[in-house]
Amino acid sequence: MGEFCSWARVSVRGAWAAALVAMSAGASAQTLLNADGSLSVSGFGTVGATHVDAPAGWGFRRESNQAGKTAGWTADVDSRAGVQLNYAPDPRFEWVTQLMAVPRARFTPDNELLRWAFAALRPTPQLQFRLGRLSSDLMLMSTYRNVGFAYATVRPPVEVYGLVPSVVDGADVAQVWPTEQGRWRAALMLGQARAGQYDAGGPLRLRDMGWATLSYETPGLTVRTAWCSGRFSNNPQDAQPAIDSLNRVAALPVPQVASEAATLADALTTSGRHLGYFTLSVRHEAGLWQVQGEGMRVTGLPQGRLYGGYLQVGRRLDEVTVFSQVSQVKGTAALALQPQWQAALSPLIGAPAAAQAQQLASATATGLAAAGADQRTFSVGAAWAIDPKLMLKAQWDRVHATARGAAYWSPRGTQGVQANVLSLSADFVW
Amino acid sequence: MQYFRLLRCVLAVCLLCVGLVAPAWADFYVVVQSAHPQKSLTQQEAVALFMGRSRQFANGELAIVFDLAREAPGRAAFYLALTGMTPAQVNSYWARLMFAGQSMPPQALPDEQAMTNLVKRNPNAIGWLSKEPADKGLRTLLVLKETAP
Repeated sequence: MGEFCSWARVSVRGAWAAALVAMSAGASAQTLLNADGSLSVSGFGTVGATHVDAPAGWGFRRESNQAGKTAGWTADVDSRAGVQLNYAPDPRFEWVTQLMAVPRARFTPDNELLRWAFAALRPTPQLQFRLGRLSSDLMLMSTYRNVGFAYATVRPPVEVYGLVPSVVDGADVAQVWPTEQGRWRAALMLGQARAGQYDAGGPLRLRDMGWATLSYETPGLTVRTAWCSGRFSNNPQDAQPAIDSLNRVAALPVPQVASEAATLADALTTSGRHLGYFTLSVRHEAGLWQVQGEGMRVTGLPQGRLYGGYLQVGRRLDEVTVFSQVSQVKGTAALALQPQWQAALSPLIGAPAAAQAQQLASATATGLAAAGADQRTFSVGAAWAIDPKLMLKAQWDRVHATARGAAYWSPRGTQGVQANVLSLSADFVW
Repeated sequence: MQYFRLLRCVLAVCLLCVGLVAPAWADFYVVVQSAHPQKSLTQQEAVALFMGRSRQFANGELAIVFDLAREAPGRAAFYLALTGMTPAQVNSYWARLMFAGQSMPPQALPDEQAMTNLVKRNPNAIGWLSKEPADKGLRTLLVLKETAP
């Protein structure tokens, strides 16, 4: 797996080099590869540097499928490079493939290099069917969250986008209704996806996913709401031994201990949980000002019910956009157990085994308590469109996660964290 | 009296100078084939077509939008007049759509002659020119005035 991480890093460097060569050669976005223009290639990338000023043992990350980065400078949080191939032999049919190289976490599946690979059929100008690996428009920026050039901030707000599934395999249908001022768009999607902590427990599989989005768009306004439902079909890989051990303890004839063991095992278990997502998004651009906000409600996660949202205000000053952003997430349940099992279990299973059980219970309870979600971030920054294809950005984040709300950090401590994150990036398209 | 005559001369020279140094505002012409049933286009409809929000004309027929190359003179001014967006903003907008796999920007043609030839031949095509089309095979649906950057 370590070799794979190294390989991914090399891929990122290679992609950057290719992108810089393409840009310096004057290649424009969507370079045509054949005479009739049906085959085109385009790309995007970010060269980012992030300085994390956090207590020892806390790792900052932008998504739950990343390995967290502890104190100091790192290029791994935001750097990435992608290339996309579009083949449209007819206005009614298109094939899209996108590959993206990014520094990866330990358990990242190899095939996540492939971001999109789908066929799109448009029998009428308003109706579209897609089949394959798709972009999911659960939230406003979720389809292009890796394309830094498409937005002013260095990254989408961690509190809201940190847990959104990365890839979806399935099919969707979308219908557009043009209006005098803009258009309505509705989409339905079925499929499966992956989410979870790729640096620790490996991906969680989401099966039987259903997705519905409804949006209204005019040149200056986008309003979108989305609903999603799915079922986790596995447990985190690293949690399975603990779940098995806790279930054995739960079968012992000591009611108090058995009950607490069952509660702990249940809190670690994701298999069979039903995930529910509801989101509401608004973006409004009026002259030089831009206001964007999103809210979400997530159910079915081990952290309990999550409520999150952010508000971003930006103002354009010629080619520079300055912005400020507040984002927050809060879970309703962080488990607060302090199991005392050793005395009760010693007569039954012996002192050494009771001590082991106590150790397991304490570690699990401590880990679960810290794995809740209670975090907010205040951000300010600027993005400078130095060239039509290149944007330079700087952003400062003040992050505060409570002792029971550090789910977005990995590794994480147990005392809560207040951290400063300084980010610089160059985002480009070619 | 002589004073007023002199003043008029000075004013005339000033106006002439202003005329010489003031920017020459250009028009842009959104064009289709002359046999196309659509007679005109509002700016909102043109924005929807050129920015990928719509793929059809008012009669429901498929619209295939063509653009001029990124380096073409007047392209930045055309999009500023059409959408009020700078080239970087236009590219950022398209990055949101194309890298989300939703929509691709209009296919770019090398020059205005290629645009004229293609739109004349293709009944579904719509494009733009920086000069009023002299070719009888084209119809102008919308004239856009260049706006100050």
